[in-house]
Amino acid sequence: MTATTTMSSGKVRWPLPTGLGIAASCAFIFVVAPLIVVAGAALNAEAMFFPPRQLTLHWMIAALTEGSFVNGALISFVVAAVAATVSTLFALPVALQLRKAPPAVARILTLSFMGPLLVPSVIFALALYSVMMYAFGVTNLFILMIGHVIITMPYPVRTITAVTEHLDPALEDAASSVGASPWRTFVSVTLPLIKPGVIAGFLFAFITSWNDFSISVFLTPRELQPLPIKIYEYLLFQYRPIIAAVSTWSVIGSAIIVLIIDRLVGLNVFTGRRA
Amino acid sequence: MSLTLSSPQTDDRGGLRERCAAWATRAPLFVPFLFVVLFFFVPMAWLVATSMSTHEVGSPPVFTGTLEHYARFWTDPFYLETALWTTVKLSVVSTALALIIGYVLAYYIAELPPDRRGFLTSMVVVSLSVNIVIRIFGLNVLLMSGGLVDSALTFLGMPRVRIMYTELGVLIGLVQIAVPYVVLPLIGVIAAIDPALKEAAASVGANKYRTFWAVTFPLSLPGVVAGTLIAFTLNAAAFAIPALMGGGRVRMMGMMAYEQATVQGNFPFAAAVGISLTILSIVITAIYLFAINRTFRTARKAA
Repeated sequence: MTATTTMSSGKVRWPLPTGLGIAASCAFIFVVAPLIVVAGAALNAEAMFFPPRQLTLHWMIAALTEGSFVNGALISFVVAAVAATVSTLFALPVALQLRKAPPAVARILTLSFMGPLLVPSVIFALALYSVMMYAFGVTNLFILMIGHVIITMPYPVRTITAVTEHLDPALEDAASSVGASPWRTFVSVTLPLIKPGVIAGFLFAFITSWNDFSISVFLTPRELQPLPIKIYEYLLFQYRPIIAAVSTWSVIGSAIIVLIIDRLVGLNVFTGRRA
Repeated sequence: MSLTLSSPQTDDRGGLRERCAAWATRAPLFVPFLFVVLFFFVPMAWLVATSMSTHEVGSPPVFTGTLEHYARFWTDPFYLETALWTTVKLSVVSTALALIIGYVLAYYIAELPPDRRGFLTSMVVVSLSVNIVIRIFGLNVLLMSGGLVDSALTFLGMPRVRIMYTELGVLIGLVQIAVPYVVLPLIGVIAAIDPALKEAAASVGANKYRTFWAVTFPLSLPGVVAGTLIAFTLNAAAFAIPALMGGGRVRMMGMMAYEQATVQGNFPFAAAVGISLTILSIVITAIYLFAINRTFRTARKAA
């Protein structure tokens, strides 16, 4: 559409798409700038600068051998994997029931499971933290995972609900009419149909947990800090290229995961566009 | 009903079996429901109770139903100006800026042929999936005095502007974090708009701007609402960004609640700040949705 207009109307129309192009390029640079800067800063020999002055891979290697950061990344990964799995499993029956439930019940369910989206996560973290401190006097990784399940659950509930809305109930009815048990119907009919929503929900939950800062800062036990908290504490007190190198590895990891998602299910899961 | 009258016995058994089946399908629902009640609603209720408790240094809060902490927050000009006003101003402005920047990028990506959207979209997704602390760190290196932006401004002969540890720095941070959340839902919504509608507008003589404001933008409103709501909720509760980019000078309510709880140990006041922030954020969201709904409806009526 854009191309045809510009072509047919000649030179007069050129400034318009170019203007959009320039604006979009600026916006794009703004979005990716921090990632590029972090990578550049990691290649500095001495202090941190961008662009780097003397190039070295020394810090990139050092970051991989520094145990505390590797541990932090592992903890983040385990917490995110557990939280995303649990919240997706919890979201499944909720989203499926939402479709069949009477409006009043559906409203209560929506409010209950979307509620965490309305409350700022720092405030929920404060609430969970004060209850847990009162009840147990300590926090541990288990409590951190509970917090992450709560804040990540709205995403799979929403993505699965979005898919079930387009689900033809006749398909499930057909399965049960030929004698399939509810469980069998679910596994061989419903689940394959809602798979895109389930995968998208899991991924959103995983990324939300992996990125979370405010829940973790309250509920992290001293000795088991996830990566973001480690980097945060480091940044508060010192600036060394190693922290840029650690961050760069994290960016590379994210990029690889996004690439895999693109190959497996396509990036449409993020833009909400049905292919 | 008629079945009940004709053969009550068989129906009773059938009803029982049906009820059992209904319970069996609903049972998986109880676990998540219990979980949410236990770990979300109970803590939130607890927080409300804490905010109405008396605080004494060195002892746990005692519930007395007092509203002194709310009164302290909502009447002290210091808190109103430094925390409340800063939070509202920064979160609203940053959401608006993120919408403008995000819309331009999303529009550009959506107008590309589908096979060429991949790279830009995936970079936005990568940016979204990189931890907020790392992105702020990148911005820090870029914006610090002697950094690239600073040097560029000096080179261009512009006056030196302090960005880091000012409100401007926090604002840039908030916008940077929010943009991907706005871009992604918009790409799908804009790309889904039927090109025939735009062609129709053009065929009756509308120029590009008119076509955009009369066709594309109204049709992309669901995406705008989805993106800005996430951006606003995140930014209103921002905590890492003011902490790392504000250098303790820019105080937002989320950060203040954290400090009051962990540094000062004043849980009741922290809770009161937190509940106030929650209510504030919900109220602003409600007003926003109401306004959008109204404009949208009047626009539709006028059309």
